[in-house]
Formats: sequence, C-alpha cells, structure tokens
Amino acid sequence: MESSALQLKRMIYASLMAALTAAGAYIAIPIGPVPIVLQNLFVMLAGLLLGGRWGLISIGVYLLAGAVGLPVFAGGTGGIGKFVGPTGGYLFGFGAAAYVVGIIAEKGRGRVVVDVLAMLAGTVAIYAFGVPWLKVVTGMSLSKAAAVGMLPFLIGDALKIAAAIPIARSLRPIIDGATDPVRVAG
Amino acid sequence: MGELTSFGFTPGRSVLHRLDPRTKQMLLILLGGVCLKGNIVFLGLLSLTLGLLGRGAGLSISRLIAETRYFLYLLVVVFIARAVRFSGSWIPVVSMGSIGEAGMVCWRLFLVVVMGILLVATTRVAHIRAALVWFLTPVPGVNSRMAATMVGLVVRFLPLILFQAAEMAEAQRARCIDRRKNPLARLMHATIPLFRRVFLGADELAAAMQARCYSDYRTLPDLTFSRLDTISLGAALMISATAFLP
Repeated sequence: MESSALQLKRMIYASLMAALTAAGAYIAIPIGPVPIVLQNLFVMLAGLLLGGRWGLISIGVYLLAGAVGLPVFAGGTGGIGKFVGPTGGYLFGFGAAAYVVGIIAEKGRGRVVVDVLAMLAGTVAIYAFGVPWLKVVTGMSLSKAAAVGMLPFLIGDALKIAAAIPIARSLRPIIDGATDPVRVAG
Repeated sequence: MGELTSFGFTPGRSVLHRLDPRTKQMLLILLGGVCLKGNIVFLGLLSLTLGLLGRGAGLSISRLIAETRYFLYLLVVVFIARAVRFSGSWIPVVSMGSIGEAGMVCWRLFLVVVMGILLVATTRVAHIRAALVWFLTPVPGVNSRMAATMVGLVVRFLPLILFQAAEMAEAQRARCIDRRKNPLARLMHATIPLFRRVFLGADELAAAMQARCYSDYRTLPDLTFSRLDTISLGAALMISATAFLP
C-alpha cells in the first residue's frame, strides 16, 4: 500500500479510537451495585491495538476535542476547565497510559503475559497522575484522595484488564490487516 | 444519544455568541486558572458575570443543572470528604470552618464547569475547529490541520457510535445475553462487536476520503478579532485582578 494511503488509514483508525473512547464515557455496564464505565478499558485498548505512537495520538485527539469544549468527557461535559478540575489528572493519565501500554505491548508481539504487564503499567500511570491531582485540587490528604479516587475502582480495573486480553486477541487481526501496529504472535 | 443532543450549540446573537471563538478559549483558560486560587470577591464577581452572560445567551438554570447532574454528584462527594474530619478516633467532626472551606472548593469547581458549558452552548463546531488550527499552528511537532481533521472525525462519529452501541445492546437483550452473570463475558460481548463494526466502517471511510482527493488543506471559516473581543479580554483581566486583592 502506498504511504499516503497508509497514513490516511492510520489517521482514521486513531480518530475512531478517540471517538470510541469518548463513547466509552457514556456506555456503562451494570455489574453489581456500581456500573462499570468502559472508558479506561478503551484507553488500554487504544494502546494494545494501535501501538504506542498512534495510541498516544488517538488519546491526544480525544483530550484535544475535550479541551476545545466538545462534550466528550464523562457526564457529557467538555472544556479546558475539566483539565484543571478534580478529575483532570486522570485525563493526562489516560494519555500516558495509552503510550505506556502501546510501547510495552509492541515489544510483546501479542504475548498474553506482556499485554497484562503493559496494562498493569498503564493502570499505574493513570493513578500516578490522577490521585496526586485530586489531592492538590480538592485539598484532601493523599490517603483520603486515594480512598475516594482509586480504591473503589481497583476491582473494576482488574476485570477490565482480564477482559482486554481476549478482546485484543479478537480485534488485532482486523487492524493488522490494514496497518502493522502490534502483530499477533504465531 | 439524548445526552449528546441536549448538550450543544444554540444559535443566537448574544455577547457570548458574537465573541471570537479564540477569545472565548483564552478567557476560559485565564479565568479557569485564576478560579482555583480565587477569593470570595473574585468568585462572586465571576458568578454574577457568568450568570448575566448565560441569561443573555438564553441558557436557563434548569438546563444548567440537568447538564451538570453527574458532576454535581461528584461535587457532593468532594464536599462531604472535605467538610467531615475524623479527630483521632472514628467520631466524625463537622465544624463551621471546614464547611465554609469545602463550600469554597465546590464553588470554584462548579464555576469552571459552567464556563465550559457556556462555551459549547454559544460556539459552532466548525468555529471551534478553526480556532484549534489557529492555536496549534505555532506548536512544534503537531500537524495542526491533521489534528483538527481528526477532532472533526471524532465529532461526526461519536453520535454514530453511540447509536450503534444502543442498537447492539438491544439486539443482545433480545437474545438474553444481558442476563449472563459473568462480568468478563459481558464486557467482551459489549466491546468486540462494537469495535468490529466501527473498524470495518473505517476501511470504507478511508476509501471514500481517498476517492474525494482528501488532503490536509481545506478552507476554514474566517475568524476575526473585533473591538468586543478586546473589551471582554480587558474586563476578564480586571475581574482576575480582584483575586489578588488582599
């Protein structure tokens, strides 16, 4: 395939991944008392499916769309205000997570262990930005911020990591057929 | 879909509508930043100004509350977490001082969100995109036109994806898939078909864009700064200055 066509295709995949991430803020699956929002699962998948560079671009576009005021963030809001708001750190964490997951997953070429490690690193990246930010903006202590902004979500995160493995396995062939971000092993 | 359609541009001729989108972005960044450190005088002035502007733009209070309802839950959680202190033991202590402090924090966060809503309600998507190209052009390492096109694609595809997701959920309900207890299976059933559909559509989109000779260089709407922009920037600076009064 000629390079400009490949570039266009990658751009469209990254845009659609950004749109899916935005949609993930609206789609919740009711499991138990707390509905699981699909957004950070989609952020991880952006890294797994598109690789580090395009995963980062994709989440970057999502954040940009939010920054200029389009209603793409959780709860249907947008605007640069969200970045300085209490949940702003998670947004920067999403970008970091997509990049970290993508880079590590590229090395693993679809091996499950590497993918799990990549997503663990990605989860750490999200909270490494999110929790200190929550602490600074709301003036809570670090332990309180962690209790409000991290502990309730950890079980859901573990579930999402477990679900992301078969999802990535089933979707990679579709994307790899057109571009070559993360190859499936074997 | 309802969440998206209720929240968006409303045409009009108010002061906020006539401001250049770039000015609005800059005001949002300036006032949003000052807001986090602002005292009670600044917050009062800003609330009054935003209230008047919002009224002029035809935004009602009930709509504002409806649009921020999820955010309001979060504010309540933050308020309680800040207002209640545990003194050594497990007995919660609430003092007037901590309630006042918690109220200030929530007031600031709320104003920041209201400004974002005012921006979206009074600015066309095409203008937001043109402003984006203008802001990103001087940034090194970023292809501003490509970024703006990608943001445009997100805007066009978001409602479509939400529609497909809703359609899929209905189809799965018809087959009783939503009654499976295993959360892993449910996450997979929700995600795989949605991604498959969206990414297969991407190939068609790429072909369509190529067939129409897509390139990064397309005509953008003209943006011009007027006297109104200068006046409002000056007014915003004066309001911001009150935050630094003793």
